Parts: sequence; C-alpha cells; structure tokens
Amino acid sequence: MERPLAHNPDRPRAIPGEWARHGGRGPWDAGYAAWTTLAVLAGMALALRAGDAISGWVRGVPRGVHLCTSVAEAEARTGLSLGQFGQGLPGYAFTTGGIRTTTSPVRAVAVQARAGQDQVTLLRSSDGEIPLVLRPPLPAFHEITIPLAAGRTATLRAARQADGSVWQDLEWPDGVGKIALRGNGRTVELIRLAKQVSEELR
Amino acid sequence: MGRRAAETIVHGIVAAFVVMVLLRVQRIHSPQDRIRFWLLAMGLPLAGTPLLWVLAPWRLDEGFRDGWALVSGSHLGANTGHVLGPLGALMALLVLAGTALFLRDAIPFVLEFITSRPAHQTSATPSKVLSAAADRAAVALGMETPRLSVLVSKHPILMCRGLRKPFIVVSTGLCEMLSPGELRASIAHEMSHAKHRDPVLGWALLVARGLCFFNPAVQLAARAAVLEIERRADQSAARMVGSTRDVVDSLRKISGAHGVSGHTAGGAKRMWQGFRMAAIEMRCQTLLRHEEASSANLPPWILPTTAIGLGVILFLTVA
Repeated sequence: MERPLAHNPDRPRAIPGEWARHGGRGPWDAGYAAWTTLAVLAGMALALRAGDAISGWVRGVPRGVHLCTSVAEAEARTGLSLGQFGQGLPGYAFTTGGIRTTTSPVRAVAVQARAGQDQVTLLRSSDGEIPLVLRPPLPAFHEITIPLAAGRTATLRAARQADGSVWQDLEWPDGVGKIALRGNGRTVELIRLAKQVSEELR
Repeated sequence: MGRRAAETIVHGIVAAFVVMVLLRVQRIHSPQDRIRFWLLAMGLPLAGTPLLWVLAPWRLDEGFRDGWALVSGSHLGANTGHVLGPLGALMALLVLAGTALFLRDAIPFVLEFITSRPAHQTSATPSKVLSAAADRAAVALGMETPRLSVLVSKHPILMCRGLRKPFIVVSTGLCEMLSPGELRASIAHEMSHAKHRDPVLGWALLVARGLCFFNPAVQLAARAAVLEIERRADQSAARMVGSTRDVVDSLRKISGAHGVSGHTAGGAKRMWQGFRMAAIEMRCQTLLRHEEASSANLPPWILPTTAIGLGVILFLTVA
C-alpha cells in the first residue's frame, strides 16, 4: 500500500512560499487560476503585438506598409503598374527604402525619388484614396485646380512644414483610384512630372 | 520551407514561454500536471502548426498579416531581400541550438540503449531482496510484478525498458552499492515508470524531438517533460517506501557513481557528468521541497483553456 505523505516523517513541517501565502486554503482557487491563465495569455498576445509594432517603429515602417526592394516587386505585390516610371522618374533617382506598398484596405504603391535637394514621391492607389500611411496628411494653406490634359484636371495643395519647407501635393483621379505626386521642388517641375505620369499611366 | 520551419520555432517559443509562466504563477508542482503542460508546449508546434497550414493557408496572405495577425514575419523585416538578414541569422542560430540540444540527448540515449541491452551482458538471478522490493512496489501500484533482468556488472545500471511489456534492468553493481532501503526506493522508482508505461512515452518524445530536431523550444519542452516524468517516479517511489530520504540517497549514490567514473574521462565527458549530477541534485531538492504539492489537484479546465488560448495566439502568429 502507498503510504500517505501526511504520515511521512521526512515531510517538511511547513513548505515556504506559495503554500504559506495561500493561508492554508490550498493552491487551487478557481478565480486565481482563471485570471492568471487569462492574464498570461493576454500578456503574451500583447507582447507579440508590441514586438510587431516596435519593429515597425524602429524601421520607420507603419503596420500594413511593406518595404519593397524594387519597383517590380511593388508592382507584383499590388498589381498596380507604374509604366516607364518603374525604371525611374526622369531626372530623379530612387531613394533607398523609398518603395512602399499597402495591400489592405487599399492596394497602393509609393515610390520616392530624389534629385539633389528636391524630393518627389509618386503614389498610386487601386481604388479610393491613397492610404495615409503612405502619404501622411499635410495641412494645406493653398488649394487650386489645374489642367493636366484635355478633360483632365488635378488638385494642387501646398503646405508649409515646421522647418519652413513647402511641400506640394498634386492629385488626380485614375479610374476608381488616385494618382498623386508629392514634392518639395518647384511647382512647374511637379506639374511637368504630373503631365508625363498622367500621359504614361492613362 | 524556411518560413515554415521559422513558424514552428516561433510557435514553440511562444507555447513554451506561456507554459513556463503558467506553471510558475499558478504554482503547479504536481509532475503529472506539469507533464501534460509540457506535452502541450511540445505538441502545439509539432502538430498544431502544420494543422494550421493545412486548414488555414490564407493566414499567409498579406490581408491577414496586416489586418489580423498579432505578429508577422513580414512586419519584422523578414523579407528584406537579403539572403541572411538579422532575423535569418537569429533563426539559423536557433536551428543550430535545437539541433545541438537534440544530438546532446539523442546520442547518449541511443548509445546507452545499445550498450545496456541485456542480451549483450551476462545475466544473474534476482536476489530475494530485489524480488521482494519489486513485489512490494507492484502491490503498492496495483500491477503485476514485471520481469527483473539482472546484469552482472560492476557499474550501477538501473532502468525500465520494454515498450509492450515493461521490465526492469538492474545490475549486480547497483545492488551492492545501495542499502536495502535505497534499493527498495530505486526499484519503486523504476516500477513507477513501468506502471505509467514511461518507456513508450520516452520513445514517443524522442521521435517527436527527432521530427522537430531544429526547434530548440520543442527540445527544451521535451527535456522538461522527461524531468517531470522522473519527478513523478521519484514522488511515487517516496510514497511507496514511505521515505523521501531513501529516494534522494539512492539518486545521489547512483549519480555520484556515474560521476566518479567520469573523472578518468575527458573534459567533455566530465562536463556532461557535471550537468547530469546537477540535474539529479535539482530533482533531489525538488523532491525534498515539494513532495506535498503533488497532492494538489489542478482544476480540469485549466489545460484545455490554455490549449485553446495558445491555439488562438499561434493562429495569429505568422512567420
């Protein structure tokens, strides 16, 4: 027969720590077990989610935005063509880490290029507005409509940043989607690019 | 393939971590319950993760990753286009660690299995003390006395073997080394293994480890499960012989004897013996400290709740 532990002379008289803390009720309090189980599981879920968010924050890539190594990869991921601008905007060079896409809620692509101090970003969405994670909002102080081509107009917005630089958004409809250019260069240069893009991606 | 291996590794780490924390905060000391938890931590990446690939292949879609996933490898920069980015290097290290852990345990296990086969050694008739100890333990456990295979060897050998019909292998060297009380405790320990069919579980764990040899979390969970299997046998033996001290003394004597033989060996073997003795000493301390804890009953819903919760978390964790 098995000998009960209670009759075991080697048994410690008091087990320190957890047993004492339970005040002799025994360790299994259903409420304690329930909330610790839920707390541990919820804690793990939060830790994983935080890890995902922190990684994006460190790399400067918001959740849902994908860094692509090439325009071809961005086009394959979103199904959106950038035409000849996949090879580069005329007079501009792509910046490292400047090719970004989203697939949810809207498929969209953003390609950033630079020429000296001038930066320009070409954005295209499959349907609806271009996601804010690809094109952060700018508080515009000026907004006008300009003609791009016969029967096609674009909206030009200008905004001043905290550092005093002026950025301009030029946006026009593309079927159910949108195409936009954002740059900090001269307005005529932005309009020149917009006309080329509009013609190519028509 | 690499992404799937990475997912099982990540799932293994998540499951093992949750189980480890739960065992600690809920003060689960019963080896029986701890074995179940560690088997859960092993089983989820081993069987649950492949099941997710089959049942929910759309988890890999961008929409799921961006909208629902708690964490996604694509968000962590896993697909930066480099052959071996920081995450790839980390995964390679984890794979190396998992493989090393598997080989560290599998090679000695297989070697010991081969070299201690009763057919390879001279047998002797069990002594009366040995037979009496086995009979007494069998009565206490409510089972038939298994076959005792006595090997003529000066080395202390004691193990439970046999998948279909477990039997106890014991050496004459062990019988000479232990006092009658310690011998009773040792035999009771092995009888507990026979009662619980632990050889089957041991082989199943080894096969599972072989399947997930690259996964360090599975390797560690399996090692924890093996430790709990031993603790279960220790506690059962202590109950049967009515003395924790005899079990502890027998464990220390047997491990000490193995340690002495290691002094003549090389540094690697000495280190191995050192690890082994440290593990045995930890078992002894645990046995002395927590023997009463085995009487506590775990609420039956905790394990299924943990399994469901972990299943949801792993479902939302995409490599």
